[in-house]
Amino acid sequence: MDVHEDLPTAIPPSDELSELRAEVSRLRALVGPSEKSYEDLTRDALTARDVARTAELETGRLRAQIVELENEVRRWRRDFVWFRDRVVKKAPIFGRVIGGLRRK
Amino acid sequence: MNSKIQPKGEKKATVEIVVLDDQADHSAINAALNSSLADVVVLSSPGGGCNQRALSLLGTVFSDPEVTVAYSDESVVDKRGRHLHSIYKPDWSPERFRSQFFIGDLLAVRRSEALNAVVDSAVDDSVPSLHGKALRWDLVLRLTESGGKVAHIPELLFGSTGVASGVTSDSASQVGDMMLEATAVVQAHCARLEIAAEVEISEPGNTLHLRRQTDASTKVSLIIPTRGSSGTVWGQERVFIIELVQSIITKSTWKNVEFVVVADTATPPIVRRALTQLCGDRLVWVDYDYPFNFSDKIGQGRAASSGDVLLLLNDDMEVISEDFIEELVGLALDPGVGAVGARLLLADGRLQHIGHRYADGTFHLFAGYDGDYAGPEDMCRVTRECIGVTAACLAIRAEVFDEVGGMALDFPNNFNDVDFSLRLRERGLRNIVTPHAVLFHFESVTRDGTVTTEEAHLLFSRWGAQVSSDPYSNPNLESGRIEWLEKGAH
Repeated sequence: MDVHEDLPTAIPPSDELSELRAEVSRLRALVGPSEKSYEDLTRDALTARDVARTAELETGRLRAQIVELENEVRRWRRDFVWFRDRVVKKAPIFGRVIGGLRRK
Repeated sequence: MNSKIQPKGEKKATVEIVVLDDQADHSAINAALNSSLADVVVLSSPGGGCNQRALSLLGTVFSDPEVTVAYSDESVVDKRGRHLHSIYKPDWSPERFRSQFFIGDLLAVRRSEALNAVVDSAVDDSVPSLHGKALRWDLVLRLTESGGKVAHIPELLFGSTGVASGVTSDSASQVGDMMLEATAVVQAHCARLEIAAEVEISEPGNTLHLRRQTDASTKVSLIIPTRGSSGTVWGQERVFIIELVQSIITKSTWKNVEFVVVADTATPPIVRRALTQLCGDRLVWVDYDYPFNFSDKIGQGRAASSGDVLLLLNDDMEVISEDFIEELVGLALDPGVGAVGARLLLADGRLQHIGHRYADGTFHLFAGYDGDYAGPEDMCRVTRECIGVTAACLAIRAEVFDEVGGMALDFPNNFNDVDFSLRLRERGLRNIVTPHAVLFHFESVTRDGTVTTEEAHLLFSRWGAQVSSDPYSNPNLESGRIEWLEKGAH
């Protein structure tokens, strides 16, 4: 008996290539149509994040302006109360002038 | 016009006002000081003027022999002398003074010491020929270097036509020239005090920035408590600690760090695997199997760390300025400094932290304002002393952390940083916040910020008046607010 006949036969190169191709197809089916589309999707996700970030930063600028304006309003309101209590109430003439202006 | 007053009472110092030209040089100041016989000379600008009360108060202040310099708050007036607005200043802040001549146009100096300082300045070859504000800047630095005390009188004692930060009616080129002279002045000051720093002019050109140079062998331990939480930022899901560590690795220019991650047992195992992959042998993993206690987690992290400087970081952050570690560590290594904090921005770019303010409550100053907000007198643009900083990003020398015994365990959730900052101040250390170290802090995404009555009660019972008297705020400003608002109407 020829001992060599029992040894496993080496896979011909063409078969190995087809097996690898099959594996690549299987992996592509999991990832998507191609590696490029996977990269595109990743890039899209990053771009979407950057757009969201820019939009949020822009919103933040507006929110900050609101905070500053609210503080300004509070300041003016407080100053007005001071002015009314200290000046207008003590000098009725100012009250009449301001009242007249308000009616206009 | 010079005026002289002998305040009543023997112990008061005699005070004289000397009006100097805006561009006065060494010889002009020297002549003014030499021709005076008073103990104290007020170097005033032509556009300024102070009242009799100023002289009396200065006389009292200088009765303390250790006081060599004094300044007060300031009323800015127009050319006809009408009040425009007030400038309320902090108590003496040496770090801020290196970046900004914040003390303004009323500068009172003890004559004998000032004479020596002017002569020293005149013969110093390391500084160019100085004039006006740059010369006064130099004078005050020299007077404080020799241990002189600086007093702040929190009253509107004088009116001026300029502002403290150097933006005056002068032309831009005059301000530019003054800042160039000031750069040389502060650089020479750093050399005299052996502070390794590069002084440069900051945007928009009226303040300075000291870039401290730190030995690359200084090891920094980044202590990051986490439970591996996820959340949505800018429309994308992220695991906070992984994004933070990744941003440090990719953006930070300081490489000599170890990542000490103190992780709750609930932390998903995949987080540990990802961090091991990112950090390699720079990762120090500490398992934390107790109920949440921020102070304790930091303490456990410190015990496992081996760095010279500790940098406490919340996990819900992301690096913005690539040299943030250099900036924080450079300041933390100053022997007179306790905790150093950074400028932290919310996800929408607004300010989350630029130092604390304690005034009938504890506040994040200007929280919610624009991230680039300059603040009154550009205070948000300069490195400055503040009463406390947030532990969300806090650098401190390891030895100082140990000396004060770490963070108090009886503040598991809130106020641990307030208590820690006040304990550092109690030891005579200054807390600093720098706007030049910038990070995003997605505050409250990972943390319940609710303050319990017990925590508030404990803080106020422990610190009492100290949480209502902030030396870097001003008694003329309203309490209970995050921003600068003058008391009463103006």
